[in-house]
Amino acid sequence: MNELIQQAKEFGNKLYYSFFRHRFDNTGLTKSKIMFSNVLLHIQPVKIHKRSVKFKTTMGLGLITFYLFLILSVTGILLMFHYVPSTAIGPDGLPDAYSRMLNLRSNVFWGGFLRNMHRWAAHGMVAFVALHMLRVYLAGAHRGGREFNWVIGCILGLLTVFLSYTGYLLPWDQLAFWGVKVGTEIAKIAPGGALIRGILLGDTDVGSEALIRFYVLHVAVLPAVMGFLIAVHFFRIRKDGGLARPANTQNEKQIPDEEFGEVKNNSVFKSARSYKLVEIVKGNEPKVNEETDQMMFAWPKLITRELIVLMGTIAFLSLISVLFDAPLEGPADPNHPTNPSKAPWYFLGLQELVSYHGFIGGIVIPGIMAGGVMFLPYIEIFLETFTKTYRKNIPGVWFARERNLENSLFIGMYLFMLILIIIGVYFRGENWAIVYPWVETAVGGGH
Amino acid sequence: MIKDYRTLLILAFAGFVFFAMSMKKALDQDYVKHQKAYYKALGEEFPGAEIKQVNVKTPSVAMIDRCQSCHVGASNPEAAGFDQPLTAHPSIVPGAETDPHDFAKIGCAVCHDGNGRALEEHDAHGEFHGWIKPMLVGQKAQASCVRCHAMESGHLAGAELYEKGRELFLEKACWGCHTIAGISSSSQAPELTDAGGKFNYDYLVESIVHPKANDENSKMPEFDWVHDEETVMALATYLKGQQKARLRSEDSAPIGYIKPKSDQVRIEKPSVAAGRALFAGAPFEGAIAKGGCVNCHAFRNDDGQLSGGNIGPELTWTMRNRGEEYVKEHIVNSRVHAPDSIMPTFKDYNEAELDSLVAFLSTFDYKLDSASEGQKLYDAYCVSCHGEDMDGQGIVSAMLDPYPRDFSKHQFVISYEERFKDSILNGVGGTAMPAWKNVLGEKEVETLVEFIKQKSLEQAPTNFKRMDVELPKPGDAERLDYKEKGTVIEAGDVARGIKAFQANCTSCHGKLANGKGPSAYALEHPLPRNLINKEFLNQASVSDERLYQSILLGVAGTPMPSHDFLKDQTILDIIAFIRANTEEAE
Repeated sequence: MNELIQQAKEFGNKLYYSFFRHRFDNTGLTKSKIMFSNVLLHIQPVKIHKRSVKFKTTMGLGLITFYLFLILSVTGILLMFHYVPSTAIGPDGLPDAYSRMLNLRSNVFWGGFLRNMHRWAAHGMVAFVALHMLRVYLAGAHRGGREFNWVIGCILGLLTVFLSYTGYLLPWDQLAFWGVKVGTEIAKIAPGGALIRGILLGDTDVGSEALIRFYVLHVAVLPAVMGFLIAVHFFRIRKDGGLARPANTQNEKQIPDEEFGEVKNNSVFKSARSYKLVEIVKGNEPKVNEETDQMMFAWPKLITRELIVLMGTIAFLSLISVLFDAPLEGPADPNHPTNPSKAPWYFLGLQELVSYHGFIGGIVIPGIMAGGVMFLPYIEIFLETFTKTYRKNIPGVWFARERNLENSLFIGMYLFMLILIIIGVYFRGENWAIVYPWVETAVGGGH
Repeated sequence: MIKDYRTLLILAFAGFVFFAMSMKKALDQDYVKHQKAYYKALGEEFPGAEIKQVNVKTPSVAMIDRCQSCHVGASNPEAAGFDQPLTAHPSIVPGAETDPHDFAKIGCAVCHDGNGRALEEHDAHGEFHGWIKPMLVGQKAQASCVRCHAMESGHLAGAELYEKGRELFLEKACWGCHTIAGISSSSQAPELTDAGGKFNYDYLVESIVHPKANDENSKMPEFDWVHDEETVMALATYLKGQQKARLRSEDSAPIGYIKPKSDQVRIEKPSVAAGRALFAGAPFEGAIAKGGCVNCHAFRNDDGQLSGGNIGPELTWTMRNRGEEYVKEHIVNSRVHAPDSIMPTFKDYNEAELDSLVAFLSTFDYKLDSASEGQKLYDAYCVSCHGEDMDGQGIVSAMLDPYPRDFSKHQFVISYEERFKDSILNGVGGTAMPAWKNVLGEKEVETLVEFIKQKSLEQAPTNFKRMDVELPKPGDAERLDYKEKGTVIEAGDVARGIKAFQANCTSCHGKLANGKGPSAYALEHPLPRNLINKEFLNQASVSDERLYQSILLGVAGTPMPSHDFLKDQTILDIIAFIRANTEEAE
């Protein structure tokens, strides 16, 4: 009997250690092993700076964006099981793609909820990308060797918008058709825009070819490119030494050490810490020799906090998706434009500008903005170098006084776009005339 | 640390709850509740919830119809007293013992539209924004009878509203402007053969009542008879029934209709009575009503009582003013006389029908006492077009093109008063202004002119005076070009005229010189002249001198500005271009 128990224990142990290579006690060794021997190491270091888990540092914005990307991938794949990117008129007299949307709402179990999740997460992702970028800039985290990561981030932001935009067409309803139509008409104004538009649409107008191209871009090309760039984006943050922080964090108020969980030291060498395992790596990785007291184990505090953000995102998104249905209008009809025809909200600022002047509003201003923002850190460096006015950059500090000018300009740009978007969404009615939302509800898309 | 775990736990729980809510929303559907209530009301045992789906296959479409999942008692006579959605459907064919419509076969959406595949009420009834086929409730569903039953002009029991709509369409002369294949052919207004397929019911109602609701530039008049709800509903139901996509071909259509008569009975012998019937849009001796002039045109009886529509000019004096030949031509194609007229083309009328109409119009002989004073004359003859305030905005003016003259502008009256008498006596070609010489005597016209002048100039400043300029003669060495000093003026050149016109005139007069340039939409009254209006430009009073003055000095009291920056030569070129456009073919 005892032997049997012994054998069972042995079997159990072997089973356990085939999954985990560590136990779950509180020793520093185990804590580092949890990170080090799991895939978690690919995302998180064993030890992190204490301020990294503070809400104020990042507000979790980048993380939320990433989680939304994950949620979008999961719900998107589930939706792919049902969706058909075809405009062929089915036996019920409706285009296939649109007919599938109706099915999702009425025939497919849980289909409406999935579509709601996907829709609201997509809009959310565009919004959080913008907020994340704002946070990074205002906290000065785009400088100090992170310039190129900022560029990658900007490309990721553009990809997000483009992903959302390609997905906007897929329901093939009036909202989708005219929203995308407006966007592609704006593209025509740009020099060479007509060619790009032609390549994207595969036709002279939004039609069946455009639908299949947008579909492939949406489900395969863009997510793949995006996944790769996200990996690069995260990797470079690690290689740049984690989240940007000022050189001296001694005087900052930090989360007390107890909050990071008790660490037992079972080592026979009382003075040696198990994290020294990583000290053999060269470079400006977690600086173990300086400020050691500021570095804490990533497990369990950081992982828990990241899970909190994940659960919060999922919970909030589920609630929104239960309460609000994703919009679906009549089937796309190229002969009957909606009045007004509005692009999705993140393009409405652009559309508002275009309504004043096609070339200046549609190409010059957004071009300067997109290009300017993308190369902003280099522009800063260029100006500082050639005018010999080395402005002090304090990474990781919100609204550093030395950067008031830059920050104000950046916030100004955000406000400018925000106001334009609000005007476009709520204050534009038929024939693009000004309406007041408290008098008459603005319709025509944008969501 | 423990706080973090707690937060994580709470959020995970919240996520789980919302997740469960989404599941509940997907599982807990209204039709289950309805079916339970239905079997309870029947006193039967609940056999378990079931989605009752009918697949309606027709040669053109396959419709998925799940309406009876909620409307579970639709074809059960025992459920007649139940509340919606459980109640039985009332008999469709009135008086029939067993209704030939089997809902288990044809479903509900065939007649009632909506979104048949949906199970949620709001969704199924097609109430979401932008859905092409919102549900047709009650009698409106009669619009769908013709989707299967062929009845172009026959009678179908149970489709009374639809039939009334069809009668109205003929009686109210809608057919005069709108084409419905097989009923009318006209290019005046949008074709309605597929009106029901393209537009939803509410849109049709809106377009009938407020034609300008969706298109500000719509020329369709706002009719006064449309404020009766039943009339509008009947007409909208008829129009909703006009759908190109039929569920059955006309040959395989189910029974219950009378095959339309292939050829209409026409009026063969002209008579006043026939003309009266045509004018009123009423059937005459078996002929289908194909008139309805009275919907747009008014007339006075012998007591001066006015009746009829106020979309076109009043017709009391028309025979006397215009003469028989003109009236007939005008009925057949009004654009011969006034190129911008909106009157439909009634080219289908035969000679007898035209004669009948003329005979009827000739019976009007109302006339004022010739000794009447100015105000009275004006109120009888002029006011319907020129308006009570003489501002050219009389009751019928909105649909006239060009607009009636605005006499409230003293600049105009002072400048052109010598033209008034001639215009009244002989009319103005190419416009709605007829020649009054057969109705009004010279003295009455003088009284009228005096009246207009007096009323218009009441508060006018006395110092307004229009310059007098003479048309330069080509080659005149005495009268050189004012602007280009010393140049002898040559005859106008069309090629140069085109260039000058395109450079200076098109924003108002349009590239085609038809008076419909982009800026014309911002002007109110009067609108830019249509310069290819042959009838207008080829009358004696529109001389080259008048054109020269109008271009150089502008037209007083109108939006036409002066063009004294142009060379005399250029103006002559433009006149040559205008003349070349409107030359009468010899």
